[in-house]
Amino acid sequence: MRRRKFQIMGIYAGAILVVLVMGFPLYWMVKTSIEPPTTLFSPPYSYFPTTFSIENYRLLLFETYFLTFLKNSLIVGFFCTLITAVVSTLAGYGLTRFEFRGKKLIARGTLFSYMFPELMLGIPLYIIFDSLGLRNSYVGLVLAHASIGIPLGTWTMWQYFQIVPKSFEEAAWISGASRMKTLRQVVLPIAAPGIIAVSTFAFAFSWNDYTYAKIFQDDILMFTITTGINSFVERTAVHWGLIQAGSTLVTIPTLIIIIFLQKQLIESMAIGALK
Amino acid sequence: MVAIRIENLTKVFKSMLGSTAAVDDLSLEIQEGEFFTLVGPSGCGKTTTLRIIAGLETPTRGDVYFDGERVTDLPPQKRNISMMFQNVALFPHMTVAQNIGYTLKMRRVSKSEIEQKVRVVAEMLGIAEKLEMKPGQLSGGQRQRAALGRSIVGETGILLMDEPLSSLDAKLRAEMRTEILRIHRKINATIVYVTHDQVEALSMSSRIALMKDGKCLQVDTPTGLFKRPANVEIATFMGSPSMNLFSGRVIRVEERMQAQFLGKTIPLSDEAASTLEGNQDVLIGIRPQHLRLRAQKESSNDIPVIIDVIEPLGVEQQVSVKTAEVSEITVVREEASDFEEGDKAYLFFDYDDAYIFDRDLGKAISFTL
Repeated sequence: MRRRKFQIMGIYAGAILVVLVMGFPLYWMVKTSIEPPTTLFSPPYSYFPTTFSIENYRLLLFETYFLTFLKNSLIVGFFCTLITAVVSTLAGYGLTRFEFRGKKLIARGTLFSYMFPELMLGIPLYIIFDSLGLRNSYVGLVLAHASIGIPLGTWTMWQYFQIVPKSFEEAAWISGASRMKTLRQVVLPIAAPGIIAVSTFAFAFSWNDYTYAKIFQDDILMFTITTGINSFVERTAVHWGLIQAGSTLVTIPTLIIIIFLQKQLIESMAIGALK
Repeated sequence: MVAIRIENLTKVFKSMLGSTAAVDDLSLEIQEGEFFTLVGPSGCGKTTTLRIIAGLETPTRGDVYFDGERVTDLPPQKRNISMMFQNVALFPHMTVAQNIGYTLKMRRVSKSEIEQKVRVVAEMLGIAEKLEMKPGQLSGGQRQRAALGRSIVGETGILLMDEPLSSLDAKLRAEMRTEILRIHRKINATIVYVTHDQVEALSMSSRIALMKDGKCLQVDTPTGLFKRPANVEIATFMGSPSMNLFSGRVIRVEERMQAQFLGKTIPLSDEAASTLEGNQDVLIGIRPQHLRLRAQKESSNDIPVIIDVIEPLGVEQQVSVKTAEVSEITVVREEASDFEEGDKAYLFFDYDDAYIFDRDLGKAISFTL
């Protein structure tokens, strides 16, 4: 009995420690962002906010290109997710359900192509995009991000469709549904958990990407949030308040997406478990 | 109701290990309205045959005809059939009502008509209260009923069933067997049913095709298959426990035919004698249910045995006995146990219940002694 109590206390202590280590930077980010820029380097330093100010946010939203960065990231993230989800789902479906030569090789090869570091691909892509006029464009960045998302996505969906029994589709065919209708009305809903997982990954990658955005976009109007916030580091000054306010705002949509998807993921997993 | 004809059907599957014929030059005639069962051990080609009838597999050679019309190249969507799958395959994201009504929706039937037909079917199957639930919220039996509902709502002329009851426990299986038979009487459909369970096959079918290695061994009514098996293989497959087989010999002594086995010489009836030429090695088969035991010797043809193992099976008991020559003979008796293991007893049987097979070819020679 007593031993069990100690065990529980130990678990809680560990959990609290992890929360502190992970949570403190986040806390510091929010704290810095809501203090007036002037107090940041003026002692006495405090762990708790002493004065409250929205000056950082006002500067961020109205005096910088932050909203443009945000728009760029959302556009690139949205289309990268869309392309990755559509291509991966169809490719994964094809790799599972159709017979052709070298099928397994292709499926495994996709994962292999995912293993190249971005930096290594960045330079050749830069040269290609430059000759195609795709630098400083949404299309270029979306394609670059999708090139990372699609291989892993295809591999994930390939794995996923293998555990979805073919008899669902066959039941639909026999009911008179065409192949496309079966895909839309039966396969996609059943594959939803996989598609959501692939989309989440694709969006998270695009949202967090710094390397490609830095290499391909040198026009500040085409910066994404990651390279954009980095632009607050100037040669003569580091605008900590702006950086922290920007970072705080950037985590909010991510948080909303995660909370929303969590519910979706759990619901879809319940469907997946039915088979 | 649709009649199905299969002609010289062959399906070869190619793999890295070479090619295997899952179905090997199979021809079958299934009459309209029949409850036709394909039965056989796993890998015998019964499911492949069913899937070819459904259009889910393309045959390597051969043709399928529905009511005399060749459908070999028609995709499953155009065959106007329905099918129940081994794993139920109800769409998990749709309600029971949507699942049952899916066929009708594909045929662009009006919403109100779909609703009404789904309700009729659901009431027939006793799942009317479950219509708004998802398949995951149903019990195993209710799911089977919903799947059955989905396959009968379209009133197709052909209903294919691929081991639909194999995932159920014994009690539910018996219940669903009755349900399927009841439904078959109500609807006008030819049912082709696939199972490896001979009890299912015997209890439900109008006719049974017994398959092995892609070939059909025998097509007959359940009684016919049981009483007039074409060879030893069929005789031992049908019936549980398996038929006892004894090596023996038929000899001709002064114009009388006699069978020698288990140390006895038994004169053959005229009926049996007419099919035999004399002096040949045979196998004598007797089902465990037809063998009987008694404590006292009452006839000179009684066979002395020793009771080896007694297994009570509720109403019946299964008894293993042995003689000097044969180490295991299975007897199923209905009477209460009056023997103990190790007891001496006498084995006897009605000569009409014994079968004679050719020992080399396995072919049935006579269905009586």
